Amino acid sequence: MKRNKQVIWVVILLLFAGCVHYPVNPKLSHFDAKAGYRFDNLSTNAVNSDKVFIILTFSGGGTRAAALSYGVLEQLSKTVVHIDGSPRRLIDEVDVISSVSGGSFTAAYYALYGDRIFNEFEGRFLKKDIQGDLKKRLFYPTNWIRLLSPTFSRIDMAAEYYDCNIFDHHTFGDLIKKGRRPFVTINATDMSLGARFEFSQDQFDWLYSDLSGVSVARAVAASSAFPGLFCPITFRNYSHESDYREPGWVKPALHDSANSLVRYRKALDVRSYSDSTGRPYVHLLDGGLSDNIGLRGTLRALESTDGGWSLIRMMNMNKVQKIVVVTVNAQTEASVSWDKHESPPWLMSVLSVVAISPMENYSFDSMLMLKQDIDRLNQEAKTRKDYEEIIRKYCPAVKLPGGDQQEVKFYRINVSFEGIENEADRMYFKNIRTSFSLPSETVDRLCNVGKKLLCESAEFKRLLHDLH
Amino acid sequence: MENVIVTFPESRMVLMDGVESGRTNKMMRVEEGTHIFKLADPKDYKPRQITRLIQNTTTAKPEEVCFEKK
Repeated sequence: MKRNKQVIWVVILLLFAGCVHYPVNPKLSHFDAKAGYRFDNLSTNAVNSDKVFIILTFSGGGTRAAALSYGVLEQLSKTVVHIDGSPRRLIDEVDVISSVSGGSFTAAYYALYGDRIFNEFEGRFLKKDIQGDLKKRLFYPTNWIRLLSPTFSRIDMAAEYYDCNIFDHHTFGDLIKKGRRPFVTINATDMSLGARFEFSQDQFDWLYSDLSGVSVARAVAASSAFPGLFCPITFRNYSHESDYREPGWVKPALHDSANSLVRYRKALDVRSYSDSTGRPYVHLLDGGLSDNIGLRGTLRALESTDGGWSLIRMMNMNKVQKIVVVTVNAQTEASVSWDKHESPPWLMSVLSVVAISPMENYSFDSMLMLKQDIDRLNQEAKTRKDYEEIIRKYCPAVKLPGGDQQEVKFYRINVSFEGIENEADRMYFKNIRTSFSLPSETVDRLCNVGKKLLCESAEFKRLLHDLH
Repeated sequence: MENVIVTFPESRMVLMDGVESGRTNKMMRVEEGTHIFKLADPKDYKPRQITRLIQNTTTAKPEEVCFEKK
């Protein structure tokens, strides 16, 4: 009899666990290529014009990254410039924020609450023991049962915590209602493709899913689901209904395997989502695996007209005069001692290098590509101007085809610990561990160094000079 | 980065791969690769669309994509 009771209880618990499920992303009620959380739906206004187009990228790195990017935001809020003769806060001119992992908390909070971030974020996130709170939840007996479910894992529990305690159950639908910039792209990594997965309706179209019904917390959780610490987060990939329209660039790009490899690969990635029978689910991991500084989307916007937002397209339309890219990179460089010993490093040390080094190398490449892209655009504009000058001098009756082009100025501002002159300070910041729980004093120092590094940047000074 | 000029007797919005990407008779920067060009309404132009591989252009010698008035 007693044994029967035990069996019944186990069955009840398993049934209960079986009912626990992560919140499923909703299917689109109908396809509309113009609706939803897209860059074009967050309009410019009297405060934010396209003339000065500011992009911020926030890297991964737990609370360290969140605090550094928060410091940068705070400094931008205190910086007043003049655009068309009117004083404006630089933070109000920010058009896009692209974020990864820890940086996604700051980006998402600012997108939802605007200036309230400066009163609330320290208490609600930066100086809170998030890691401790998440660990405590593992000791709740109800969570033991919930975690038995194959469709509910620790990352879903973390997303729930962020949803209740940081982002107040807000969804991307709430961000659309705000209808104002910045357009925040929270980046994760598609585990099967190893490719960047951004939380925008442009991307969710490929899943035939409605992003407006997805909680912001779930996107941030996906963006910060570091492998090993968390399981991947799952999204449904629905079969496309007959009203679905593939982005116009995909079909021609599939002819480009020989001459435009990046574009060709992106087109293959888009097509992979259309196989909802073979891929009914998409599993997402930390955005840092595909781009730990959140810069890749901006690089595409500088190289291509294909995405949901394109700087090239805006330049073609003469909409922008100044393009400012601020990369906030909280990359560390922990001191290592294994080269002092003859015996090889332990497995954990080897695994940490295997996990971190490719990300750091990729970040370095991204920074290099940004410089090369901007240099190339500047060079092309200069070449064109030189031709025009020569023609004006020797054949004044002749004109180059294509008319006059508006000059676009670029500003590439890098906020990273590399910029700290004092070696002891630099090493202090570079050795701050990646965690969602840092001492209050460390958080203050990170916020202050973010402000200082921005102010001391030569490119930032050039921007301020040009806007006064 | 490649350069294209879509020519047409009037100033008109250019749709490249289905998206507004520039204006006719003005220089457009585009990514290397195959693109489909159309013009915005009214549909008083021919051909209906032009598919072209854009590569090896310069700012001094852009690819010309020509539409005519119907």
